[in-house]
Amino acid sequence: MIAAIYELLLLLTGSVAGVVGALSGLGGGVVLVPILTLLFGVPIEYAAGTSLLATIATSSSAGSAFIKEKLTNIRIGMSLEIATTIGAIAGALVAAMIYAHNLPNLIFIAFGAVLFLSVIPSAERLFRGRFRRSKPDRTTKLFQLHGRYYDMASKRTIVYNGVRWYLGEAVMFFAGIVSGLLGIGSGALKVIGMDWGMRLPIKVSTATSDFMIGVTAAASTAIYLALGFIQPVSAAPVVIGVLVGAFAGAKIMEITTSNRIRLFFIIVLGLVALEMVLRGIGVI
Amino acid sequence: MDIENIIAFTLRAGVLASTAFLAAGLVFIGLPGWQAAASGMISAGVIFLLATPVLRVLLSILMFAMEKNRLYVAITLVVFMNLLIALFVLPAFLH
Repeated sequence: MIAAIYELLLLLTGSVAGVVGALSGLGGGVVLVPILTLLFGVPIEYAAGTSLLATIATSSSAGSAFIKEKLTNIRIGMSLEIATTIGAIAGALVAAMIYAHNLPNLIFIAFGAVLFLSVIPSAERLFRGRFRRSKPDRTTKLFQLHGRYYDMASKRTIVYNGVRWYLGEAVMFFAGIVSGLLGIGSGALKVIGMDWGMRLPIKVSTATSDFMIGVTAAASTAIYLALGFIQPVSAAPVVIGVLVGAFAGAKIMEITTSNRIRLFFIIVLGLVALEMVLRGIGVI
Repeated sequence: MDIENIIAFTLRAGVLASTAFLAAGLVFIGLPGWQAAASGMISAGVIFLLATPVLRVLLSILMFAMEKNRLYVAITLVVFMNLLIALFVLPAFLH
């Protein structure tokens, strides 16, 4: 009986993380890890392991929807996954070392810092004007970084060129490290790499990031599994919850065009970031 | 059905299969005598979940090969190799 209640609680926790992750645009993992650690007192390495599994699940389901809408640029995503997978492996190995030396506070501080840094550009993006196409550079041609999609909101076909591939790749390596170190999808950082670095339209950056996250997280997950940081029985209800929550969150986003909800949750996550840092330095 | 749709379908099927196994495992784990079978189902769910992105990369290799895009076949092979290293090579050193 108690076990069943605990399972339901984990399911509910996952759903909340999924909804807030979708509404803020930052993903379920960055919501899930703080809830599990700060509220439930789960050791952060297990929270991160659970979050990685949930991240793969949401990426796979969101990824398939965006491919159908032709928003995802599979070439750009794949070329950047070279850096994210190498980064993820490096990040997971560093995490293994940190936990082996019993320094989980470092992870709390890094988590808070990364969450805070992802919150700022996500808020900025809400107030941005229309997309302007960049002139192709040498990497556009070499790596075939062009594409087009039909924009439902403005009812126009948007043609775009990705530029500065090397910059995208550098940001992705960092995003991969963060993913492996903290057990999150680091979608916000991936979007920065494509949006700011490669000058891709925000919808393409977001869809391609969702598509990439699963592969990045798979590399980290393999190592977390080997380290014993994933406990399948307690992770299962959370994963299902996050999937359901993310689905509901995406539906809510479809019916509300208002940016206010998004801004509200972004601010909430900013506060959560602060709490993670305070926990890391031992104040709370 | 073009291969992009096959990739989308694979992702969806992978998520559905793994959630079905995870959910079934969670239901059966409460029943006496079913513990071993239930945790087997949950493990299968985790393996399906982890295999989905790997399969997706494998299908992308096929997609680029059909498009005769050699550069991207090579790029995707590197990604696939990274995943194999994370899945099978590194775990051997982590115990």
